[in-house]
Amino acid sequence: MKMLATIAWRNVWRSRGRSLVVIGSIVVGIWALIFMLGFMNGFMISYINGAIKHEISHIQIHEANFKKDPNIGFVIPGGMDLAESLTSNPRIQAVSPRSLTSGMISSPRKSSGGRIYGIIPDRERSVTHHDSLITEGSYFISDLKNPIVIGKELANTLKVRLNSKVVLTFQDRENNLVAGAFRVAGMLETTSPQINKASAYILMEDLTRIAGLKEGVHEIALLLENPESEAVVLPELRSAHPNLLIESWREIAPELELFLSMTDSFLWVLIGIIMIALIFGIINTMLMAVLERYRELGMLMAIGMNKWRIFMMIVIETIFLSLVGGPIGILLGLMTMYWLGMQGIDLSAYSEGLREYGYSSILYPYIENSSYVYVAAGVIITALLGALYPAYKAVQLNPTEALHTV
Amino acid sequence: MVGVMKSTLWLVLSLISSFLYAQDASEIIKKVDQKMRGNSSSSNMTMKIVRPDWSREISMKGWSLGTDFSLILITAPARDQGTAFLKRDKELWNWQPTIDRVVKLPPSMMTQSWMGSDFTNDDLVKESSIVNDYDHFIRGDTTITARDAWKIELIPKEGAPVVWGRILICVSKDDYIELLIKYYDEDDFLINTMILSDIREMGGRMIPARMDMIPAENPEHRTVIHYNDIQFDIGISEDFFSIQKMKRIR
Amino acid sequence: MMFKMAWRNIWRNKRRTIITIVSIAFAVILSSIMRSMQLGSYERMIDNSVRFFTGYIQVHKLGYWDEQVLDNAFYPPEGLQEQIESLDGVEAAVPRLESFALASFKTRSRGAMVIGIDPEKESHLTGVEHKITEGSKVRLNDPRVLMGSGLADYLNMKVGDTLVLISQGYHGVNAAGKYAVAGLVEFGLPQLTNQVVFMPLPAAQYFYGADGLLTAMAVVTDQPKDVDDVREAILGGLDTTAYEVMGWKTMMPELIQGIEIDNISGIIMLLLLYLVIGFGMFGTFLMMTKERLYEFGVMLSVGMHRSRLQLLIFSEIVLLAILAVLTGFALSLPVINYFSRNPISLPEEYKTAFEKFDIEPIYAFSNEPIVFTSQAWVVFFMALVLSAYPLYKIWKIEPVTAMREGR
Repeated sequence: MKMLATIAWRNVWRSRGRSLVVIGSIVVGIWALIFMLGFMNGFMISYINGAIKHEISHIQIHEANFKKDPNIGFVIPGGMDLAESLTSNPRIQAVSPRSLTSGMISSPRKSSGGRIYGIIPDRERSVTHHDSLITEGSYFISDLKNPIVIGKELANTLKVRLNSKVVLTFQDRENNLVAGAFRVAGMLETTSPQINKASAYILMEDLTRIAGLKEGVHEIALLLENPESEAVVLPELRSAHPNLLIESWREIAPELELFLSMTDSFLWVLIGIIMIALIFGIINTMLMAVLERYRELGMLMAIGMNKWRIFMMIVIETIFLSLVGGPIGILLGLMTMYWLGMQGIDLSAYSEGLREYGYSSILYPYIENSSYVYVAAGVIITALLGALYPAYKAVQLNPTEALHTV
Repeated sequence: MVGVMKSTLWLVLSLISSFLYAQDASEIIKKVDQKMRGNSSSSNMTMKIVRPDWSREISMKGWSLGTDFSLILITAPARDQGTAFLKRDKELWNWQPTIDRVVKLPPSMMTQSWMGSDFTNDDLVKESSIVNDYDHFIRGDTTITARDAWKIELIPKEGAPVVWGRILICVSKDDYIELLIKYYDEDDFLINTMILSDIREMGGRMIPARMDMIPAENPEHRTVIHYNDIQFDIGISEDFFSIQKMKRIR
Repeated sequence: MMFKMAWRNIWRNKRRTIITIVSIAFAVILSSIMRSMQLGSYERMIDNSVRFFTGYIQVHKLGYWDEQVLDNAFYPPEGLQEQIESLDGVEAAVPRLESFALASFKTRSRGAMVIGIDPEKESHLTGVEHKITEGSKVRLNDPRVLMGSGLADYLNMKVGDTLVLISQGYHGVNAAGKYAVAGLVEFGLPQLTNQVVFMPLPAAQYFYGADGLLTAMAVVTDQPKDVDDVREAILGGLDTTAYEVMGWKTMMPELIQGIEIDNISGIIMLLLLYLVIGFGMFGTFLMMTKERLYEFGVMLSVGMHRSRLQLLIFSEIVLLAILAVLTGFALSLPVINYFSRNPISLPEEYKTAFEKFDIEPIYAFSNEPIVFTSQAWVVFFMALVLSAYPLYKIWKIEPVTAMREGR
């Protein structure tokens, strides 16, 4: 066996052209798959993250009846305390307790319905980072009394500007109408139409005061340090608070899950196709190589090398080629991902459409470390499989015929 | 020394007079308010909604007590007949006889137009707020259809839940009747104009029998309310303005 | 003459030729399949979204789209529905009357969206009848309604209860009515399930005092690509000062952008595929060149001009490429056609997410001609470009070296 290996090794380096091509195919195959995975991952992540980061967060907590009946009376008992205690959980990055109700926002010209959030700016901004999405005005920094921050689209619908006065009308827990006047302190532009068109943010103290509530936390939004820890945190929270409704972003926005499924399912198909392309490329190249080595193989057989050995020789040659191509491919892939991971791929030529639809214009490819191993293994196995047929063909040769070939 | 005294005196005088004026303006507005509502009233009205392509006429009967209670019953046309609106303070209810149902209007319906007119449901409820939600200032005099009138400016108080930037009301000096009301947003754009005319004696008082509401952005749109007859001090109390009454009133 | 020689050369070494042809043909097949699946998924996305929300085309009163209020409803011209349905490429014309109302039951109430429909026609659009989770469907002349299960939940209602609706009708008339609930419906989008009430059109028209009026006539076309033609045809038959006819691209521009984005990633995937295929093809050409070095050496040493040899080899490659691409084309046609009619089901784990939105959990294939032709051309040109290697080699080699190496 050792001799076979040595022969195989020398064969590899003897015909540099062929070897380089096969190594090249393997490198290209690995690189292409890594790039594809990284790109698609980056794609999915940026879309989902956009929604999670600025809109729905990782986890939301409500009082059990609130989702069904968003009456302002359904506060989370001890909401503020709960929010406090959650901040000390190391897996949770940020916590935002909110008051929440729905009502009408009116300007002299128009009225529009929407959700009214009473927030604590410092907390809220650490979870939704809305302060980075302010297009005009500021995020609750100024001294304006009764400030309100609304989406730019809503402002346009109502035909109001910065410092304009709007009136919020909603219902207290007895369903009596209450109202308050607010001044537009800032305008927001996010990737969520719900926020841009139908949400208004005011100070929690203003909302609870107008509603006549002492304490009013209706919703607590959590941002996790690491998205993966959802699998741990969610059950933990649920068992600690069985009387509250605790949901993850998957349940709150099932269309995100749909998007993930669509992209994921397609990804597998693409990987399959590229692997098939790879295997055929290798089969073809190796077949051609066998043809080219007709004479040499015939010679080997004539001097007594048995068919099994010839078969193995070709297979071992392929193994060597893979062992060289594999690491190079992975290295190239790593470098590309690293570089792109920092630079990002700039898709701003299509940026307007992207924004509308929920992506930020720079895509950061992302790939898990384990994927490198899987890809490399997959490609190498494919290469080996690709070598089988040509190797088989090689041993079908008739030595005498081969020797007479020109 | 003299100069300082002079200017101080002048300052004091103008302060006093503006103080007097401010008092006057609020008093004027209060009187106006009283006048239109009386203590209690019952009336017959017609409302006409005018649009470029169509128009609609609605007849109704109304009862009111002070500025906090009112009941309106629609008597024509056939589809709307029998429906009624009850206002108690800031709440508005609607009675639908065809389906035997009373509904309390939620915020989403409050901002909608009332019966398709240029008034909103909210307007019905907010009439009384001109006294309490605003500061009042006299801005001069004017003449409207041969009547001398004050020009009074209403500026919303801090935090008052009204959308207007300011309201201008022209009040006749003789009989404290509102003749003209202009609603402005905070950028001083005119949003709505209400013209009160056809001033005559009804139910023992001088009141405008016709009100036109014209939205500035659609000057071809207009809502006109005519008082056909009205009686004051009819001796009804708060109890009159109940949901049961709303269902039974004819 | 050159081509005759080239042709003979090709068939002289069948094995080599076949391997090369297979390599190229396969490239065509694979890239066609990939492109077909990509386009298939976009088509499906468009179809699903468009059917669900707006239909492919809508006819309204001029100005309705900008201000979607009941007062902007229109009287459909005599025979409009039949007229549209008789056009080529139209699957159905679906009438609608939509507005808002306060829905209440006992002491609870909530804002709801009332959609007046023709239940039978509506099946071409939102397919309401398939979304019924409890109860039964309604007919055109039914006095009963279908409501979203989320809304029913909120109001604590079940099938058979009576829903109260109050609103402002056309020109502000009073709109009030009671309707028995025939069934509950559920959609993938909770916003819809929590808000919607489907009412038979005549009942809705009566409720809103809008007899004979529609807010929109939605049109479903057989094929997405027919939309523009059908729209033109409808426009031709209508008074454009009174009506507007809009295609889904105007009504749902976000969908176009969504597809654009998918397309970008799709093209990148395709480029990656070309890279891999290209390398494979290059390998084949490289090996072919190596294998024929001896032959080239001989031909050069007996006096053939390099340029002639190059031309010969180039012709061989061109012929091979044509043959191969046509083969690939011919093979991909039946494969793709088969799958476009019998799509592959998605693996189990993805099914639930799709079914929630009532989107068929399949891999869709498109059999638009462009799928095949574009890929065929690309691969053809790739082959031509890659032929540069053998030509280069011919240009560079010394005949004697070649003959020696070739042994």
